[in-house]
Amino acid sequence: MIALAPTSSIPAWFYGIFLILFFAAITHVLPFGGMVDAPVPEKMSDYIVSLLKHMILPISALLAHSIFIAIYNWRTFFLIYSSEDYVEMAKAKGLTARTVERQYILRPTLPPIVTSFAFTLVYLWQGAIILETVFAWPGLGRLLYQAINLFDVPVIVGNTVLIAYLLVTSVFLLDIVYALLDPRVKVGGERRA
Amino acid sequence: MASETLGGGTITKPRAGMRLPDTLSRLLKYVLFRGVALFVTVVIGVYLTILIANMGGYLDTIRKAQIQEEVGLAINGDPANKGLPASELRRMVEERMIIESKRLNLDQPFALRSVNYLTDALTLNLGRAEFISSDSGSRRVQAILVERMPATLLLSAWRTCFSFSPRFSSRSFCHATMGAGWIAS
Repeated sequence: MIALAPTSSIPAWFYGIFLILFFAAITHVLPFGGMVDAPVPEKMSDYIVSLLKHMILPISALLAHSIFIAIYNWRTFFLIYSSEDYVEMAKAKGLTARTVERQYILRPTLPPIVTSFAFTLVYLWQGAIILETVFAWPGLGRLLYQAINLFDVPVIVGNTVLIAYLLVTSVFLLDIVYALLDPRVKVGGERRA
Repeated sequence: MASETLGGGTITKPRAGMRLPDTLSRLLKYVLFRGVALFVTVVIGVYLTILIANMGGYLDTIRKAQIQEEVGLAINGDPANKGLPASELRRMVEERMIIESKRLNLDQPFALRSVNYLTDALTLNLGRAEFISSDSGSRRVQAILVERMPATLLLSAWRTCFSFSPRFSSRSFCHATMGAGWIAS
């Protein structure tokens, strides 16, 4: 798993091209792109099956791009916190491995987890520009790509403003959440006499 | 204020009645300061986007050339204008160009327009798209963005679900990569 971390340096759309080549062009088991089959299925169950079928390749490409580096990052965080002095102290006190993991290692890793999750949420709104274009997925990323090609400034600015507001709100909320999660983070300084 | 001595140093204990207002005022001050700082960042970021998207005003020149070409082709290709003298055709092209430039606000200087764009963008008055339209035929940017949002959310939400589930169980990866005794080592 760890040895596979460098594979995340390859962008998701690059994986996407190979996945399309293998699963759509050679084996014909999955569609090339789009969101649903054409013509659009009339029955809801058929529509959902078609949608899920079209989502397999783009999601696989996104996962292939991000999963290994994510595992590597979290392993690193766990290792850093597991060698802290207070963890040694907890072990010396005879606490169970489960208690040490949950209360002494997982707790301090919460701020990075929350940061990562918050920025994933922002990314969730933004969409993947080239990946959506490769898979002809009709989302915001593809819209931005089309807008840039057409010099459609109001759409480019509108998209950017939306992301900017979401990003700023996430950062602002993160500051408050940090103070709640991590007792070391304080607003202002403690007065000392 | 009450104080107690601990290991030679003195730590001040604030009175219970004083603690909450003090914390609140510090929190409010921080929220205000942070809010202003983030807003300034957004203003700078959005204005830079406007400048870059408009190529620093050079896009006006490209647009004017595009309009001239389109208007010229439309007027010269119109069978009703066949046989008109060249000077008359030129006058008609110029008239239509002035109308089109006014419609797209190209008659105003870019510096002024960029500030108007910024104000509109910050107040989420996103205006109308110039070329792209929604499936329902609307040119409103808000309608276009709202129409495209579900597709992106669907894709990204699934991806987040899949990529976050192993993160929360990364303990098992640590066990898998370093053996069951990783915590005890």
